[in-house]
Amino acid sequence: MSHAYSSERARALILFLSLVALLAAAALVALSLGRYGLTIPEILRFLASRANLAAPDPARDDLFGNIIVEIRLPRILAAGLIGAALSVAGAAYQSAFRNPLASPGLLGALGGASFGAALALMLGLSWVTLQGFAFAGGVGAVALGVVIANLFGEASAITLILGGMISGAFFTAALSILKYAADPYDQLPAIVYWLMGSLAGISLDQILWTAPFMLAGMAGLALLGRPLDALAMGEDEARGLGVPVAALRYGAIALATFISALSVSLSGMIGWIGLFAPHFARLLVGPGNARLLPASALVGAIFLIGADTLARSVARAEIPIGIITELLGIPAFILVLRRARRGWM
Amino acid sequence: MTLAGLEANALVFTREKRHVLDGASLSLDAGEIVSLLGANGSGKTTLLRLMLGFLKPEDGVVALAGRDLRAWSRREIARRIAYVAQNHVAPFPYRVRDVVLLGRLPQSGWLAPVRAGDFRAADALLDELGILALAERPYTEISGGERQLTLIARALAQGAGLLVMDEPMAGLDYGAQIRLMRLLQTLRTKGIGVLISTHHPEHAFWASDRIALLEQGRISVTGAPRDVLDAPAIERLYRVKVTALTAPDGRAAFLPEPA
Repeated sequence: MSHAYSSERARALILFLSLVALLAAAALVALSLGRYGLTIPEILRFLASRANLAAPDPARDDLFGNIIVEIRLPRILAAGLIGAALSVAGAAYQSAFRNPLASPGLLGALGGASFGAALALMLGLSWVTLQGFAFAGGVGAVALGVVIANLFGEASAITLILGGMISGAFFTAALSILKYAADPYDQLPAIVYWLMGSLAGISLDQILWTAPFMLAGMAGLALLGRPLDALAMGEDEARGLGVPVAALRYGAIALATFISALSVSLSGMIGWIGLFAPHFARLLVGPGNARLLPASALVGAIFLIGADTLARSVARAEIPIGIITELLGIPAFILVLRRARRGWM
Repeated sequence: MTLAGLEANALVFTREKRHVLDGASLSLDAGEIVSLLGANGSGKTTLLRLMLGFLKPEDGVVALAGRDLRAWSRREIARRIAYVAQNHVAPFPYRVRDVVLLGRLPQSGWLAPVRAGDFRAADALLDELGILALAERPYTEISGGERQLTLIARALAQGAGLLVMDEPMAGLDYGAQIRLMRLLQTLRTKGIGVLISTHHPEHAFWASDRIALLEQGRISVTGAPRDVLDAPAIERLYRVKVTALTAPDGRAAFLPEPA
């Protein structure tokens, strides 16, 4: 019997090490691809020289430093963080709402963020202010959904989802009004482009500033893994196991909304990943959240780094990443659906 | 009433302006089996959920170990009372062993990792219930009766002194029903108090120390099976005419009268 325990632990360990290795490989490949092609040995030599492990090559280190550190690294870090955050948020929502269809946009966070960003674009505000507006819009939409859900007594999973849908619909309608009123030559394309998502404008400073919050939010959700399992089994099940259902659900909503709104404020709308990455991770490590949440983070990070690399290297002009994640996410989701449906159909 | 006991006193609960419970009182002590009988919709599940603290009564008090249930934290309650719900389904394919391991949550806390000892304890419980072979199977792919047994294993993993089960016989085949009643009797000898709601008067008669009848929102009678459960009581509860047969050892069976 303890054999089953150790073999399961070993299996999980190998899986996680493989995912981490895959993430490192994806990041290296992403560093090498682009308008100026670098070979992986060149990148490794540059990194070694930066770490004082190899002799510097002054002729090329400046150029490499510019390409790797200034241009590509911020995007790769952003892709990894945002992919991880959206996937963890999606996995947490799926457990907290016992719903395999749940994703970070479930309670209106993405609709609200879109409205906030569009409003900032209409007002001609700075990029940083726009991010603040998008974040505030995402959080505000979820807060409104929670208020609506609580209008008719203590909120349940279903009333929260309905409240979020109502709030999301409201912000989507408000976004339509902004689009209709926007200057069609200048503001409207900017709004549409933002809605398609891009990691192009993110600076290393922004990443370093938001990363601690994103990582803290993800770690917070990961710490809730075991009680989220109880909640995924049902509300009375969770109560019977000593879990304060409302407090846990609101805690998970707050953390998941926080990291998704932060993500979307940096990157614009990136769809699908928060829905399908958790399902993919569930096939690898099972539905237990203590493993599912970290595995979702790794799967989401790998997927979005891959998608962003395609977005910036497949065509001469950059393709919005939201389009890539949907185009890749749909067939990937169809592939996992065949096995994922065992649980819920 | 011992120190571990659970006692509901004059509970009132209304849903959509209808009195579901109107002064219901019921107690459960360590080391006894109490069966709750009542027609469909009579409020059995509501009464159990009130006694677990899942619902708040509009009037009346539930006390655990002599202290108002509202003064206990959810986790403290879960260490003393384990609960098995009726007709449970899960949206995600947790494996049977992982479901049982969730039973350790109230004792171990949220952050404690699952250890080899927890694994062994879970497997021992699955073995005791005769479903160790299912340990690695997804909970979503086993039968309703097997899920019921899994949840019972999880409830036992909680290590609580009291066990509350909502229609645990539903979905079990006849042999599993009998084995479950025997298991409950074994638990009783270990000092565990068991409260079940059931639609099987004969099982209740055979295995219970006390039977409580829930009628019109109140516990109308409670007492030893032979004092409570007779043909008129069955007719009143379920509105069917039956003949009561008594075996030499004192057990009873109820035969429906031809229409």
